[in-house]
Amino acid sequence: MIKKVLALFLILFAMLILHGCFFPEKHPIEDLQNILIAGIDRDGEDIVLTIVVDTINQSNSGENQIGAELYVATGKTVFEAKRSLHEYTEKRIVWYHLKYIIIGEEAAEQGIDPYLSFFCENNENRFSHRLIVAQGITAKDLVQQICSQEGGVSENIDSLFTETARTGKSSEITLLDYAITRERPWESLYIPVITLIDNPVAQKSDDTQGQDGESSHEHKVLLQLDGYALFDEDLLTCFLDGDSTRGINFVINELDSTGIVVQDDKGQNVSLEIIESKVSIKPDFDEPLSAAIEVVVKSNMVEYTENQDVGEEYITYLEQRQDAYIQNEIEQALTVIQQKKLDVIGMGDAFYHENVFKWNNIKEDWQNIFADLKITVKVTSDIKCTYSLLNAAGA
Amino acid sequence: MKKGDYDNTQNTHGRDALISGSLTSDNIKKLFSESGDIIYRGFLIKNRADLKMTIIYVDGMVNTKIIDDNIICPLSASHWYDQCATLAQAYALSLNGALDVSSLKSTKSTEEAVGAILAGKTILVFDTLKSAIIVDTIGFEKRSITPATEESTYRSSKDSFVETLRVNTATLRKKIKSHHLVLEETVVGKQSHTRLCIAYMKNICNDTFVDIIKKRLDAIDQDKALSISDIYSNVVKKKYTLFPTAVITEKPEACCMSLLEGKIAIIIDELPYSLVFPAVFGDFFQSSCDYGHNYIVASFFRILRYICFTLAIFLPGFFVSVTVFHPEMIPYKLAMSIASSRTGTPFSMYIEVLLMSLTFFILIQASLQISRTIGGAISIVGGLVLGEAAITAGIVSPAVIVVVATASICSMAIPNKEINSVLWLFQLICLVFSSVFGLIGIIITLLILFFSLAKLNPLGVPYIAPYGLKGPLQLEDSFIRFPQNLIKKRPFYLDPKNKRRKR
Repeated sequence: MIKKVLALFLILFAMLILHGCFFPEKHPIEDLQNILIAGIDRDGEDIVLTIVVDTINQSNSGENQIGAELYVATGKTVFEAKRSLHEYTEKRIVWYHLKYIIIGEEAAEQGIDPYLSFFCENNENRFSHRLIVAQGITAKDLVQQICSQEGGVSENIDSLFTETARTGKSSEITLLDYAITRERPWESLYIPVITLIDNPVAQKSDDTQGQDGESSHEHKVLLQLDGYALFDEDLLTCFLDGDSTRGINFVINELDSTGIVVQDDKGQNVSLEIIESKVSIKPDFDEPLSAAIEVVVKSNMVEYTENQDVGEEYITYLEQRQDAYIQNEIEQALTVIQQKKLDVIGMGDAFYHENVFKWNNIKEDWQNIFADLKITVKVTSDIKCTYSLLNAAGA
Repeated sequence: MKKGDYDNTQNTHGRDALISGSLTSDNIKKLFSESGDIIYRGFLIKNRADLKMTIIYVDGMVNTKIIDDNIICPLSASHWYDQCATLAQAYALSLNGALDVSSLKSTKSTEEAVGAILAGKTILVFDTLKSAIIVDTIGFEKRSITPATEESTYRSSKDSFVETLRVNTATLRKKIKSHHLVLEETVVGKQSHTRLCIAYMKNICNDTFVDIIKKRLDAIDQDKALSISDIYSNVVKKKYTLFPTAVITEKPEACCMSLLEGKIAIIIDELPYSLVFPAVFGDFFQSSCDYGHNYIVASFFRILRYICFTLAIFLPGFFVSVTVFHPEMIPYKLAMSIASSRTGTPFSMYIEVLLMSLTFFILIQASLQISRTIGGAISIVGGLVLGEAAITAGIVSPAVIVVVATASICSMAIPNKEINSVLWLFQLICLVFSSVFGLIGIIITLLILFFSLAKLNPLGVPYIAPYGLKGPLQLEDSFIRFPQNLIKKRPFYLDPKNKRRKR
């Protein structure tokens, strides 16, 4: 019995002294302020860090309300900039719940590794942070714009990603994706882009205000999540527009849903909602190197002229039109990335998994090989549902 | 030596001499000279001066109707005694059927006669023969069988044990009508002379258990056996453990189920409980109500009890750990909700949780110590008024109340009261360790818990059985419950003589 008790105490003691710190440091939850969004810009040699932290304020009725505060700091590194914030914040600012890292266009052009390496290595950060590039605007201005909008700070961007998933013109990239891509020299990085666009409703209201003399509460600019920023190593190289981004998303299997419009045999517009898309990349090591991309797409007819005779031939025709539409979109996107020598679709990875020995011979020159790679695209469409009330058999 | 001590010793020696002396009514009177409840009635059989005897019994413990109708009436009126020439003939006649009683025996031992008087029997002392007849006239007031009050009785029999041993043994006999059911009796307690009954199934129960229990009961050297702990602590022999190693039940149904599994029960006279040995950890998560439910529902509830057990021990400690040491583990919205609820509270998180937990334990103790009518009021005052007032006054945060209340409710979901007390102690241990070491404190508590469980082996049976043993993982009626027709074997860890249930 005594031996057993001694053994237990020995285990406990060993556990306490070996786990790193005998008495762990206390960080009571009420003494912390969480950074929700971090914006990174360049000001010459310095890094400008813009952060949004949560605050708990007491309202007049005595209830606690959660708000947000914006801080801007400058430093040689992200760490130094963040530390300088401690001089005037009430509570300890922590990275635990950081959700978005927004990188300004200018900062991205100078290389993102110096900033993101800090987030990868810092113990308070998580690899689940999502990356965004601000196009045509500094990260600071974008963060200010986000804060000025109604609703939760990070929820505004959350809803952008949720809604953009329906168009297929963007997708989420996390810090982990960045770290994995940077580990593979043959792959290139892409990060979703947010821009500010004019709000047409607000402009119209301004015109009306001039006549009626009433003020408008509409925002003059809106956030738009559209397209990818493509990187050569860690340097921002170019931006892809929304349609090309969707072409890329077809190939990298990041497309949940989207809508396309094709014309039927009578020139009428038909809206097709893509509900499922699966892709397979088949690399071929035979000289000259080539690859075949096969995309299988399932879609529904969601809008068309009801008096149309929706028969088998009609649907086959629409499927062919859809094949051509998607194939064209993918090929256009491939043309852009091959011209820029940026393998953002994981083509190198497909060759690696096909034959690692042959891959070792070509991986050093992969960027040039990728630029000249002959890629054939084959799309197979399947229209599942017509929603036709007049011709239910065609459903 | 003081004078009083000397007198007491002399008095004790005198009584010992009387006990070992000849069996006469005078000796018995001297033994009980200071007791007013002993009735002595001199009696002349058939009113003959040569047939003198004395009837002795304890007032209140006997059925006087039996004495009047079945003893005194035959002694005074039966024609059998007309032909008696001597007292010896009358004595023999009484033993051989002249008295209208079902159970009697003769004795020449004063000690046996005194024991019989104290057990509620009547003795007929024949002074000149230095002999007595012991007649079973036990008939004191006893509580009738009522529904169990401490254990739930959902879709199971509602009867419970009472304070009378014979009623309890009869209840067991009524439920298990098998000649294999053995009810061995013994007496424990040098002063209290408490009767015990050891119940087991001769064809199922492992003989080793019976031998160990008998040996330990025989070895009991104490003056009383008036409470559960008097017997429990002597049979269990484990002084340094928090966990109970016997199931204490007031339900004969639960007791019978255990007997049929191959366990052994001790029923103590004057206590409405039975102690079932050996108990393993899983037994405390089972309830006889489980067998009233569908097997899927019953399995769900059993799993839920294990979850509740875990939550009750670790939830407050885990809450302190993550909010004080590891706030990064909490989802953002929950973290903000907790942080905003903490605004303005004066104490640190672990002091708050500790205070609220202690308040809960105090409430439990208060409601146990007072009568049931006021107990409800205590719950209302404690739960509603105190909790609400503490939040309004800003002494504690609502999140802490929610955590402590959840842990408390979880602890109540365990059907066994013994485990409840252990659980509360481990909750405090976990809380203290977590307050100092964070999540490492949780691991320390977990290790202590596993160590405490794994080192126990009541009557040689591993306490964590059937888990972690070499034998088959018998899940039929343990962590979950199979349909009744699939529960075919008795627990292997009890090593029963008859391993199949249907034999």
